[in-house]
Amino acid sequence: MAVDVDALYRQYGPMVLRRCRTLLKDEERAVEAMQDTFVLLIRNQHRLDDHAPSSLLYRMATNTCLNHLRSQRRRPEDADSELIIRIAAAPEEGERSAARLLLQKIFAQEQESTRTMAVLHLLDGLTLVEVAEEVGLSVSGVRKRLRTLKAHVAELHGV
Amino acid sequence: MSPAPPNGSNAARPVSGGPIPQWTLERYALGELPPDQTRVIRQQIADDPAAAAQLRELENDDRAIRMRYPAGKMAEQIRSKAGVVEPRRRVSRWAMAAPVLAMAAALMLVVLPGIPDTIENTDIQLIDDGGIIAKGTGDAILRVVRQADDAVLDDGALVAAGDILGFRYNAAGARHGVLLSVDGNGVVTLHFPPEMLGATMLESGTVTLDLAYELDDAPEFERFFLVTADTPIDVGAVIAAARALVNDDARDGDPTLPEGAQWTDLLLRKRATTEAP
Repeated sequence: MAVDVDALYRQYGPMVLRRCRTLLKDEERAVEAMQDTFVLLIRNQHRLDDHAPSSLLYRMATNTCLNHLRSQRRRPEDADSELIIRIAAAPEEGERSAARLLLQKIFAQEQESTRTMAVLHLLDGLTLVEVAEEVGLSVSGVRKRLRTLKAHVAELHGV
Repeated sequence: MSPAPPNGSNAARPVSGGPIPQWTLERYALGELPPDQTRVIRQQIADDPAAAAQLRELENDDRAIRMRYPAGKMAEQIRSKAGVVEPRRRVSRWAMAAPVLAMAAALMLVVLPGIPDTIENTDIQLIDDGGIIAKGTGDAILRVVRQADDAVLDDGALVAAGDILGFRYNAAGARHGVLLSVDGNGVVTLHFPPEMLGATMLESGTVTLDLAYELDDAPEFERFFLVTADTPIDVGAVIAAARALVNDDARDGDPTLPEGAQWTDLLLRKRATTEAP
């Protein structure tokens, strides 16, 4: 089944762009990330099922923005920005080398990013239960994967 | 069981009397919130003017975004980025230098017309007769053909600057693939898809790629990798992985792929300029 980009954008484009604006705080980069999110969706269309594409797009947008932030090494403008940037810069669970990370990206669609889970939990305020529901993992699995990453952002107030 | 929200935050849940969490409101507006939460939010919007204002603000923002970034234009740009509407290109023209080796003169990638498609598609048993594949983790088959004499090049075959190469593959059932090469200068060249954001979908059976690649004067070797998978592949990540290999052992090193990854390689030795053919 081919993805109907026009229809998907009409339906979900504003939601995706708002998500990218929130995380990137830069209109131009947000639009770019929004487009990249839909590109990612096209290339992972097997993940698109019949119910609630918003959830998949929301996570993809989050992950795309984190990748943008990792590549930009932007300076934080406020506490939320600092939190997001720290999450973006934190290593993934089990990540041992840059090469391994790069190769993991090939199959990123098969494994939800720990960073994305961290944003959902630490920034968006979803409970571990809700994060687990969003990403299709067990609560203990989410907790385990977030444990290491949280240590990297622990210096932030309120985390 | 419902654990306490982190740090007092309850952003994901509808909370009567407080602002509706953004993610909840988004899904409510899209009609994709679970029925029980939908009822709660609907009631909150009916009872709380601030919540109703939140929804109006979101709907206004929707309209503003659709006005500023119209669907037709955005969808076209997205499809273009994804390579969906890109016409199929006949040559590989995209190259990347390794970080330290930006020697421009050595990076010549010559754009040539596609080689004549004289190689008929054949059954996999027929292509399997050449002993082409040296190693790798996958069942996919990669063949490199020199245009000048239509020779199918074995792993370790001698080639020279100026040789024009064509490619055939049989993905052995894998649905997606990336073909790239690394040369003795550490330069990584993407051959398929033609662009980083191009679609990685492969055809079934034995397929001749519609491209030609002229070897430059990079020394020692040109090593080709065919990476295959059953799902779409992040081309940029494959290129970056190859570049990481450049820093290790581009000639003989094995890429460390996660479970499920498949790769096949073919190494061509470059004839020194003083070496007789």
